[in-house]
Amino acid sequence: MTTDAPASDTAERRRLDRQQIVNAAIDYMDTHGVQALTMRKLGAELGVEAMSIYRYVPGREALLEAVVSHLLEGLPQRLDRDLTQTWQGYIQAYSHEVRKIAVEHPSVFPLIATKHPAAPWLRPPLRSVELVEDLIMTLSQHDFTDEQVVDTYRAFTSFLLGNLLLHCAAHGVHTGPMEEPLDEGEADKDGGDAQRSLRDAPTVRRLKPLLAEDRSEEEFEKALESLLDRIEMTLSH
Amino acid sequence: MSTPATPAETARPSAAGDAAASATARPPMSSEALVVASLDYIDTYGVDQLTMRRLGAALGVEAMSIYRYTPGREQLVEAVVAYVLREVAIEMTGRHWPTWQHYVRHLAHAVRRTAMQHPALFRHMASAHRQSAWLRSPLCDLGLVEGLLSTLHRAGLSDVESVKVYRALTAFLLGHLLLETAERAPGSAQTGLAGVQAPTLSPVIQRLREDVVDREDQIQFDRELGALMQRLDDVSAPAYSSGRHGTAPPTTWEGQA
Repeated sequence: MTTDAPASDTAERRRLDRQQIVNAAIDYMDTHGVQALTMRKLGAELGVEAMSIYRYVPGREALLEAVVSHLLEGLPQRLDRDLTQTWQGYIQAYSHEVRKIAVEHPSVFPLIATKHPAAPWLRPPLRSVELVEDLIMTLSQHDFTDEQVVDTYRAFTSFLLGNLLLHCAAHGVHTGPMEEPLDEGEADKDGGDAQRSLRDAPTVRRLKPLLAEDRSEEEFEKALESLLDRIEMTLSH
Repeated sequence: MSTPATPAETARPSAAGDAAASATARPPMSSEALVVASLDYIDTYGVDQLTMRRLGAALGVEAMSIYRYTPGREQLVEAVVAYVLREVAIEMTGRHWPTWQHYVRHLAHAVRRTAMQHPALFRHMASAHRQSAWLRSPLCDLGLVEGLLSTLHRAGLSDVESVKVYRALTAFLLGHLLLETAERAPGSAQTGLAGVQAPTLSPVIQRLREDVVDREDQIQFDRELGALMQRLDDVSAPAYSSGRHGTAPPTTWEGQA
């Protein structure tokens, strides 16, 4: 247990642990997307039989759930304590921590945007009780009423979800089946249709370069500021 | 599978000029009828459940014959999305809009109605990758985007401002409606990830949970849409020279390419 035999001993298969499997799953999905992940492929990646993964995780769904937990775990503790003296600072820091997950793992983040199976009333992407609890406690400490807490929670989650998913859509790995080439408006098949309509959409065609620009960070900041302003207004009333 | 969803029976408030839809009770099949049937199937069972075989069973035809109308499942779902968004686009055309704000508000509500009517499809739209990544969910139909952008343009918004409105509106709609459709989508229980323990809930969260369930989604939507509109007003204020921002230069995104 204490001293691992060096990896050169290939007869001894690489030691697995749950964390290692979760990390490998994240790596795999970062590159290939969520859909592509199977236990067999993950096993190949880790150099083990798929079967031996099942010793640590009961199945693919449970693995994905473990990935989500891992990414969200300890987020409240990572917040910059200097910033969190005020609720505004707290929301700012919190937002950026969540955004960081989306930026670092755009292909995996949509998982966090799914509903929690055991607690479907938790609004994604704040998909863990720990996260929500921390948010609620902090706001309450800053003299938010229950109603204000709930309103903030709702507005905050929809803000995060909308902004971050759009970021992921622009940056994530292509998640669907890969048969059709990614092709902007010139694809085959029903792409002929898309092509025709782009001709009928002169404004879109003209603005396409602008539309294609990546503004997600800036938009995120602006929308976040406006959200904070809005919450502030409701507090003063 | 034993109870095929007979598509044409559920009277959908289909867009005007859609004469074909009423005649789809029986074959002859057409691409349009296939799309409508698929939409019904998705509404009832969810996108994941849609297979050519099941759809064939629901329509009383061989799965193979469906391939005559669509190259595959992906394309079929894509066509269903396009169909639903086209209905929104149709609703938006040929009307008079006193201001671009009227247009945007109406569009937001039309998209919301669609999302509520077809929650499963909406959720799929939000997660699916499209050929053109620069078209943002849920306003990812060219006709729809053209309608919005050209309206903004005619109202005197600059290109940059128009795109800004488009982006803010899509982010708002996506976040809001995804959360709102979460409980409505068929099969959304299955789409969750199974195999986790129900967490023990603290009193605060317990309370929150009850609160949240009671909320009026529509009211929330309107309130947040109102806030968004206010923000967008500020975006374009200089174009209307309302002087709200005093000497602030016309809003441009720094580093405009």
